[in-house]
Amino acid sequence: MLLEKTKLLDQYFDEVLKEQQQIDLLLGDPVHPNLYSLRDMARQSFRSKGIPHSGMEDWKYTPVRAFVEKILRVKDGYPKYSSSAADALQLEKSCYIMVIIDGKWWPHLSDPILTDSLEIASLDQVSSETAKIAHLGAHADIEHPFAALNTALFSDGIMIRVKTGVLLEKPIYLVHISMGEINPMFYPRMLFVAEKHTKVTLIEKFVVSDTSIYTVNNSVSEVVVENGAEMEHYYIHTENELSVNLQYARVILDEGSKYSNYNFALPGSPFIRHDLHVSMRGTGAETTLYGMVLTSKKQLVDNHTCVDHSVPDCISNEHYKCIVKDQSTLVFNGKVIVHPDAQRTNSFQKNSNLLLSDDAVINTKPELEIYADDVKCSHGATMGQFDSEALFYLTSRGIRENTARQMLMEAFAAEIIEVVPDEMVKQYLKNIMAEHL
Amino acid sequence: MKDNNEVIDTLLDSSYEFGFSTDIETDVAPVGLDENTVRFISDQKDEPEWLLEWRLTAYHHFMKLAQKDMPGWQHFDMPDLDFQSMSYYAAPKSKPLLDSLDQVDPELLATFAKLGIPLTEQKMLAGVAVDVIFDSVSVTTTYKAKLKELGILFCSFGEAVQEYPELVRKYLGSVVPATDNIFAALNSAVCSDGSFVYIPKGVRCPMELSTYFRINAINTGQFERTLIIADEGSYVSYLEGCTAPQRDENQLHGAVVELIALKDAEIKYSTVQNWYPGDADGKGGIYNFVTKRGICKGSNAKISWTQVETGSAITWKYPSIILKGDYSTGEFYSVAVVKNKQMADTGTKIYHLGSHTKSRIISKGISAGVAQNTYRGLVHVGKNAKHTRNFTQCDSLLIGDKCGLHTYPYIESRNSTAQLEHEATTSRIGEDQIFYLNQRGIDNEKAVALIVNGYAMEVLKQLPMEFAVEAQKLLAISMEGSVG
Repeated sequence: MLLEKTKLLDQYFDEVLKEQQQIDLLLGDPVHPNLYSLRDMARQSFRSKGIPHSGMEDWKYTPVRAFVEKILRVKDGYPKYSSSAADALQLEKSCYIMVIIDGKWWPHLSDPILTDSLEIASLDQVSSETAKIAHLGAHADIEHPFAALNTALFSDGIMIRVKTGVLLEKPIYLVHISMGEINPMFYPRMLFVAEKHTKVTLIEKFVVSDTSIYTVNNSVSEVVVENGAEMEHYYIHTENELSVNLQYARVILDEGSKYSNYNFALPGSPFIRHDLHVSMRGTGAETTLYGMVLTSKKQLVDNHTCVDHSVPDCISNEHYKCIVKDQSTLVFNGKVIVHPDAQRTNSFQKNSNLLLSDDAVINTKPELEIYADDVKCSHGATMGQFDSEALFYLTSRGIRENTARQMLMEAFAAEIIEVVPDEMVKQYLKNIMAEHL
Repeated sequence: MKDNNEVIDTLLDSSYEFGFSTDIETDVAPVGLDENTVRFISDQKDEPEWLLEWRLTAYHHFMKLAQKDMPGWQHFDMPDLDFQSMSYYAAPKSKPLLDSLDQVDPELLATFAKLGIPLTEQKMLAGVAVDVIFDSVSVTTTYKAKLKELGILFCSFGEAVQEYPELVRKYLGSVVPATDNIFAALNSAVCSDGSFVYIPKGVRCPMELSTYFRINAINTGQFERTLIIADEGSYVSYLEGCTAPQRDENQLHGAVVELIALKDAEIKYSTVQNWYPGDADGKGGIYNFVTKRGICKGSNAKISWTQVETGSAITWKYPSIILKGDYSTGEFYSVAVVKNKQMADTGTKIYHLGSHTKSRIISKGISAGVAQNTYRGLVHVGKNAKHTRNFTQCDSLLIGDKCGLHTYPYIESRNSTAQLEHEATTSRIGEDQIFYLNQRGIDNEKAVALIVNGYAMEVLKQLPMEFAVEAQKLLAISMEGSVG
């Protein structure tokens, strides 16, 4: 039985990959002159590895197959999601909203674009102007099984380019809606380029609609921050139990650039896996990664971050905090690599976890790989429950234990939420956290 | 104790101090490994049937594993090991009587003298009982009679099989099963000798027990087996030291150590490992693939591992502790030094299974030259392990810009009452520190040795006194030539 299932899923991908290969052959290179050969390599890479299993170090604690497998059982009449109220994120007024449904950008549902400062295009429409999309496929590592799968299969996506010197005041707000209209599994591709000396805020939020079916979102983003540019990048996950997320992002930082990532995973999706790989390619680059994960029920949230220092004089800071409840599982793997010539690197990483249930599981692995000597690197990981003294302090002042616990959880989360620079997002997160705690 | 400067002075120009080979005739098993090799070893040692069967089961498991790929998760490329081109057994031919030092081959004694083992009469005053493993066979065991008065059994593994088969049978493979990993399987099949310690109920072993391992014969792997059992309420401190002569080819060392601490018992196991690390170009050296594991079976038991690792071309070693009894404690203290082309992938695994169990991990890694040093550790908290506590600290010191230092701590928790902390830092010897010492007339070499010793002090102070001195010496030798 188990073997049969395994076969089915592998067959499914085999067929899908073949189909895409036929289409590529017919159309030639649809988007990018080298895409055909790139896809070929990606196809081979995925075929040689297959869907990751627990024998692979990066997937040791993350049984992804079971979640992907469900797409085979999605048929018409699969229980549809019925939500009472639409999500209450009131960001609309002050953002450029981009609506992306199942990986496809819908311009007529999105805000008009300021053409002199910003270029936003659907990936299948930028075909001839290759210079603009030279980055496409250049950064995602097709050794990663799901980056390979996306590279071999994506047909559409969005490119956002902030033109040199532009300081964008309003954030760009990408709403990813997982519906599964054509296919329960889809492969969105994103390319974000912040050209020299620009400043931009990207907010990516993942939601479902009231007609969504069970979906698996296998997306790949390539992010390039050029010399002296600054980017703030948010991920906010508030999907429901029908939406599975496999996110892969590779960030390239040029000289003197700054990149901050804020990653929020809230109760809902049964499975979220984030691979966030930041490569420092220019000296003096700076990166900050913040994460706040709150899991409940049978959720599995897995964050794999990698900060890659390949040049001297860069700074990286990382802080992930997680509150783990019910029967949920949390996986965190934070890797810092300092390459031989990356002298005078400063790299700090912290991972703090609150484990609130005996049925929940936390697996964390903060890794350091250091090949240069003039560096300051440290990492720390803690795991525990409420500080009993703090709890006692509060209850002795007449605060009910439940309220006291909630206060402590809020305080725990506040360390991340308070550093969020965007006031709107901060307020939104505060509200939504209060709801879940 | 000599002061640091003096020690370093005498050692500065020394390369591998213990790189001499003794000319003694040895009984060597034919090269290669098959069922007959296992039978030959078992036969040589006159073992009972059950042990031979146990060996054969392990052998078959090993052959199964050997068909598959070698483990690939470690942070170094697994060398090609040709298990068929090694010889699995070497015993000195003139086997001396066990309780008379006078009858020991004088050349053997001279070797020991060069190694500085306190084996002879005067040196015994140091109060160390030594079980010397010389190419797989335990040559002599000092102080045995005196220990026996207290009911303490301290002998070679082979002797224990003959004299205390029930104890051996009960505990052998109970902590490290033959199926644990490929090297444990190989060891179980071909283990030649090792040490056996049993401390009876309520006895506190009055002296440090010690084994000195040394690989001598060319082309032999060394697969010793150590079994230490501390019965209820007892205490023992055990020290293991290792050296090997200098040779061009690589030699495999695949030991297995099992510790069993029953209720209220405490075992302190210290290792000073100084196998030949190969020359500056990475030629030769020992492959040290060791499986060490202890179990705190009863409540309130305690096991602590202290290791000073300076040798071996490759070290692959994770002394582990299973904290099964409630309120039991596990400790791991490690200094690992690598230079030239050495590689070390070492750390610990601690399994918290009982409630109120505590563990503490202090790891100090030092990397120089083009060497790679990896800390790999696991702290696991089981579902029923309430109110457990772990503190882990991994510090790394880099000397030179071509070396690497890596940390891979795995932390797995399944219980909400666990308090786990992990921290790691990386730094190098600051120019200001060197300058400060230079200013006071201490040259670079000495300054580095001084700083390194200070850095490792937290671990060194866990060692028994006599060995702390030796460990400091070793650290100083290891650091020699690492600062330009």
